[in-house]
Amino acid sequence: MKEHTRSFNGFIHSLIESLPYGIMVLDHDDRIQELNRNFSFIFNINIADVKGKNYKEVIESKFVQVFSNLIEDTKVKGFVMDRQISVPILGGVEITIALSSSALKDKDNNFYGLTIICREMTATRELERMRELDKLKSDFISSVSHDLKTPLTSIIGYTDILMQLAKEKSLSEESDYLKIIMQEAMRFARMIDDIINMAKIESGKLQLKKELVSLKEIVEEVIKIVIVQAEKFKFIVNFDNSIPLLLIDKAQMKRVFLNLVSNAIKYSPQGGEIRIDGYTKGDNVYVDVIDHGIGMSEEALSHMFEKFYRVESDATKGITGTGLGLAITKGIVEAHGGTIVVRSKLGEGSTFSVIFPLTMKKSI
Amino acid sequence: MEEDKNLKSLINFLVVEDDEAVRQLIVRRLRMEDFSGSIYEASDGQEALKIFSEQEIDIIICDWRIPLLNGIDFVNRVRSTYNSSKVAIIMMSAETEMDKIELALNYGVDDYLTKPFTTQDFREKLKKAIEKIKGR
Repeated sequence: MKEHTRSFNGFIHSLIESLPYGIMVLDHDDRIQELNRNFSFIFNINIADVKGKNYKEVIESKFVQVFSNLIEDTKVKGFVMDRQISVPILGGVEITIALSSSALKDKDNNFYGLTIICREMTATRELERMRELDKLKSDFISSVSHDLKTPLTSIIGYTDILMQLAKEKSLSEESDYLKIIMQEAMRFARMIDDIINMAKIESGKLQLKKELVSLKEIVEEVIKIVIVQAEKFKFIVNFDNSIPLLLIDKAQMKRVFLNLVSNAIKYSPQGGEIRIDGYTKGDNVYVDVIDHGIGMSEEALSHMFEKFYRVESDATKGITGTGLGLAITKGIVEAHGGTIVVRSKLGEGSTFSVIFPLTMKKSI
Repeated sequence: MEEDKNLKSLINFLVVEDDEAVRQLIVRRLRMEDFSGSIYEASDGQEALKIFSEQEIDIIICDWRIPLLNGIDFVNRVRSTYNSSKVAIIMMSAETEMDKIELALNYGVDDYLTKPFTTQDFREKLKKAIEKIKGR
């Protein structure tokens, strides 16, 4: 019988020492019966000589109240779960500990002691904090977007009404001025969209709605949009039949090509030909947007996709924009798993290549 | 929209928007359309629910972000009332992401108006909403 008890006690001890929790067992007089190595590490206690002592003599005074309350509550309720406290450990680091406790009762239901378990919660808390921060970011972006666009709604709305009235009253000078206000307000709206998109891309909050799309169709739609303002230009679209439908967010990808084609137009002040080639090479699909405009220097090339980067030169004087276009384009392409590269020669033109892996034709 | 002038009569609107200037803009635009019903205004979700429960509303124009009870929850409450299928709901928002727009449509919003919008956008959505309630 003794042998059996000895080996069972041995098992219990070994279990208490090896569990990844701090464990303390008290008798009904608050005296320590068991205290494992983890507990001693967390609360900085010397393991030797603790047995039989009241826990209040052993634990740091600042924790006594917490333990006292825990014990009282356990006596009343039978158990207490996950009461969180902050414990400073070595090197100024603070960890979060969850204390749980359960009463020990004999066969007559008399209280004769309790077990206190300490669970390290820091990782869980960090995760919670990260989730909160993430939600704050989303809310902030959504909130800023709403706040910036609300006054703009009134500006555009009332300007629209004024334009109607001016037309009815045949006020042509007033109409012209109002038209300019409207155009600039719309431009402002687009700038807000750019900034919001950039914020979403940077915080990883860009949501893509993917469906099987033809890149050629997107490019053709884009050309239809720009052609109105581009009489000096000739557009050539040259897509290989080998290009499959790809899983793409159509609206976002349209933005990408609208940006690239608009840039090609912007940076070719003399007009000319803009070619868009689509082909497969190896495991990838390539879409090249080629212009023969002013091109860019080596210096400019290295900063091309940076936020707010605008080329400053005589040739580019008078060209307006937020400088976010390519940064957003790059962000969208990369969010799809693709890449974008540029080749250019000053005075001769530029080629922007959007590259997608062929694996994008498969559903996940 | 001249052809349906007689059908324009007696449409009651509820405009839910907390920004005063935008709310007045919408109210003015609706008045310019020459309907003969009433135009009710609310600046938060709770006020909107109160008005909706007390009046016969045909078309609701509601912003996504409103205080006390947000746009989506308000729509949800409206749709869970008896006979709400007769009401057309147009939601306004600065939101441009398709996901969020689809979410709104799934909650029972009939149409979506992205801020900032032009008179043309507004009238198109209004026309569609009127067609919807005519058909119900």
